[in-house]
Amino acid sequence: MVTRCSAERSLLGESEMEEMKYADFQFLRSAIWSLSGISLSDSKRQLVQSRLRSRLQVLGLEDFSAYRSLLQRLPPGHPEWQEFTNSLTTNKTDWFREPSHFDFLLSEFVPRWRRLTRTDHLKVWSAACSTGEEAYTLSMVLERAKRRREIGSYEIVATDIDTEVLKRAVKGIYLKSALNQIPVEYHSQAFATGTGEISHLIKVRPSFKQTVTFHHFNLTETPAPWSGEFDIVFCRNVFIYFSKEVIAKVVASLFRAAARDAVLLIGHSESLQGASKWRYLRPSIYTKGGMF
Amino acid sequence: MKGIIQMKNRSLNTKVFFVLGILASAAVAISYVGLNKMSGINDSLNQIVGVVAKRVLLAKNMDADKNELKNQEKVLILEDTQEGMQKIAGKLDGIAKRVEQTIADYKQLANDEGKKNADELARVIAQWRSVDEELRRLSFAGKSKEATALARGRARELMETFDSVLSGIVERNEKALQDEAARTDVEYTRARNMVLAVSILSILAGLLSAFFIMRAVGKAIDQVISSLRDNANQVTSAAQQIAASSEQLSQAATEQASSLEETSSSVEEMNSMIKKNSDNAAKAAEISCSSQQSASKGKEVVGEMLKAIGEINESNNQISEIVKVIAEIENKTKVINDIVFKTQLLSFNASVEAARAGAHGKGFAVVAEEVGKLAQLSGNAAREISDMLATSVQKVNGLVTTANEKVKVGTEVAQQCGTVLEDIVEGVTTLNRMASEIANASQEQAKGIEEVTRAMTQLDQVTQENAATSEESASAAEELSAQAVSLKGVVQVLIQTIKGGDENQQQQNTAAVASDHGARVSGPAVAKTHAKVLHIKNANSRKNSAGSGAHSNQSKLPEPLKKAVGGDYSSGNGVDTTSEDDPRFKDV
Repeated sequence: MVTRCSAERSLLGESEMEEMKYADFQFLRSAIWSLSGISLSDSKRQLVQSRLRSRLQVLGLEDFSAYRSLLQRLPPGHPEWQEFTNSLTTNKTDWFREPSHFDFLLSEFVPRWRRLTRTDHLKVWSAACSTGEEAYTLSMVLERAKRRREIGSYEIVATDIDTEVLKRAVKGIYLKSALNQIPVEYHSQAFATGTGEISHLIKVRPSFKQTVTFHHFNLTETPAPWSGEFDIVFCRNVFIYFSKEVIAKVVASLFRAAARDAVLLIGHSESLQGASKWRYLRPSIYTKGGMF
Repeated sequence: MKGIIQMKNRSLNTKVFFVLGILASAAVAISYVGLNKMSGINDSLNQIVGVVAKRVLLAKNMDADKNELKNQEKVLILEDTQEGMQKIAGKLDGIAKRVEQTIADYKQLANDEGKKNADELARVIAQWRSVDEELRRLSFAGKSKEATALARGRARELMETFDSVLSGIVERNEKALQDEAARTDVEYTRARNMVLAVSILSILAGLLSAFFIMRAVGKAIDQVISSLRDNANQVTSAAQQIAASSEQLSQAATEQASSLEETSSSVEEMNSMIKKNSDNAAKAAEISCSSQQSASKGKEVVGEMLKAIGEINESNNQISEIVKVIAEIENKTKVINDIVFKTQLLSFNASVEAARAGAHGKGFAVVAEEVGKLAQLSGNAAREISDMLATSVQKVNGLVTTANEKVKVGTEVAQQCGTVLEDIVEGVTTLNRMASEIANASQEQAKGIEEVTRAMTQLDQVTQENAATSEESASAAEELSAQAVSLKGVVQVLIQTIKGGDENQQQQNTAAVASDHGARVSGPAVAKTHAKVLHIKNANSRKNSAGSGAHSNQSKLPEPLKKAVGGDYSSGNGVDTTSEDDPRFKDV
């Protein structure tokens, strides 16, 4: 009886959730902006609140004001800043997301690239890779191209600002239900399936994993440590979180990192908003050189 | 038995009180019997200690005092100083009084026979006192021989009588003591037997009722325990299921929230693009509108030009008229030529006539010559005019022909211009209409997407809230699950308390049950172990990739991820808690 009462009380207590004060929201918003370039409008207060509540629980803090004053005391580079960033990033990704991009790569980009460049080593950057689905999708697609001798070799560099999702990406373990998003011809080739208690899980095979290197990298940190290297740059559904100024800065950084005839693929709802050296090719696809 | 069957419906308290009641009444019975018998024994003891033994004691005291009296008497006789005699006499008085008092005491305790004895003793002592008076007198008088004789005679006799009475008393009372002791023995044996009998009976009754009641209670408790255990197991597994599904729900909600946040951001982006489109379309409409006006003006100008060309045509016609006039002038010039010819003829005639007239006609001849010359000049002039006119007509006709041709071409061009401009106007009008339509559509779209954005924002907020709530309910479910496991532990302890048994065995059972259902409860520990594995594994793979040396500028790059920032994360679906080296991953 006593237990039930206390349980009810605690449930009630938790449902009366601590509201975030506007001043706290302002602080947290400017903090995430300067850490990651993510712009949050006033309407994202609820989002910030719900995403940071778990931090309050972990740290045993009363409210967001306490969290704010904690952050204010922390030196830059303190692990909590990373936790804070991890909490506020949106980690939406899918297998074969926006498939027209992969069709474009195989049927249009690769043949031209092969004709026009001397090397046959293709280097791809999955910028903002989240939990790794995009990078492994690229791995699957390019492996197919390699087997058809359309390319000689390839490597994928995948980066994200969120260390938590990178942890998962490195492990390469996913729910089996993800196979619904993946063309069936890749299933047995690219994945090992769990048995027994973990029969709901799949794992990316080591041969595919080897082609992907994951790095922790903040896109707004410029200059990026790559220069003229990547033939293909995937930076999809990232700019939707950035302001015009940050987009311009990141796009310029991607331009520097890209090879001469590189292509840049961005999200279908995004645009580079003019003012960049990238040349528009078609919706959501831009090119650096004169290949097209 | 009937009572016990009826007891079945009573509360445990009543049952326990019933057993306790039986035991208590047995105790009361035992106590009653015991006390009763003990009071008898006590009476006997009182009789022995308080009366008989005291009598014996008093008798012994009297005996001792009697001996003392005898001794002091001897000492008195042997004493030769008066002082010593006085002192001893005093002692004798004291002892004699004590004996008298003892006799009086004894009389109080004594029975009828004893009272007689006491009186006897009192009488003997009184007689002895008178003898003693005599003896003292003799002693004080120094007649020790007489005194000795009296002491050995009369006094000894009295003392012997005293002794015999006293022995009688002692003998009788010792017998009485033995009688009392025998009676106490009997009383004790009886009491013991009764207490034993009552005790055995009540223990039997207590055991019997306790047996039946405990059997009834035990059955009920067994049922309670078994259903409690079943319920605890069910609650635990249900709680764990709730925890698992809450975790899934929470995960799904979090994923949904992420999806929605991304969609929401995309829609916002689209919103801004559509706004831009709308602005551009509006600008295009404006520009096309002004183009339309320009084209219309152009058309007007072409119209005016056509009019002007028409006028030029008109002028050409007029020039043709002038040609006609010039032809007429030429005709008229021919008349002048005729007149000149006739005038020349006339002047020739006049000069002929003047020559005929001679001198009188001389002046006339000059006139005629002058007229002839004039006619000649007029003729020349008329010829020249005629020539000029002919050339003019020719030229004008050429001009008119060319002008007509040019006008024709000009008109055609102007007409084409007009058509083109008309087309342009038409095109620009269409363009304008379309641009306006685009602008309107974009505006509507902008409004629409604003609605969508608003809806998305709301949806986003609700979803974020749901995600948070479901996360909290997941942790509550986790808590519930832990509580259920601890409840099971408590039940186990209860069972152990009630049923007894090996503690380790019980604990093992609990652990086995817990691990059946509670794989997730031990999650964090598992997660930590796996985190370690992950760390090591990634360190290895990094070494390998460095060994293969894929790229020259590797040192410049951020270090490939080997270990992310700490923090316990665990999701219910096992994605985070399962190691990549898990042997259960099989190639299919």
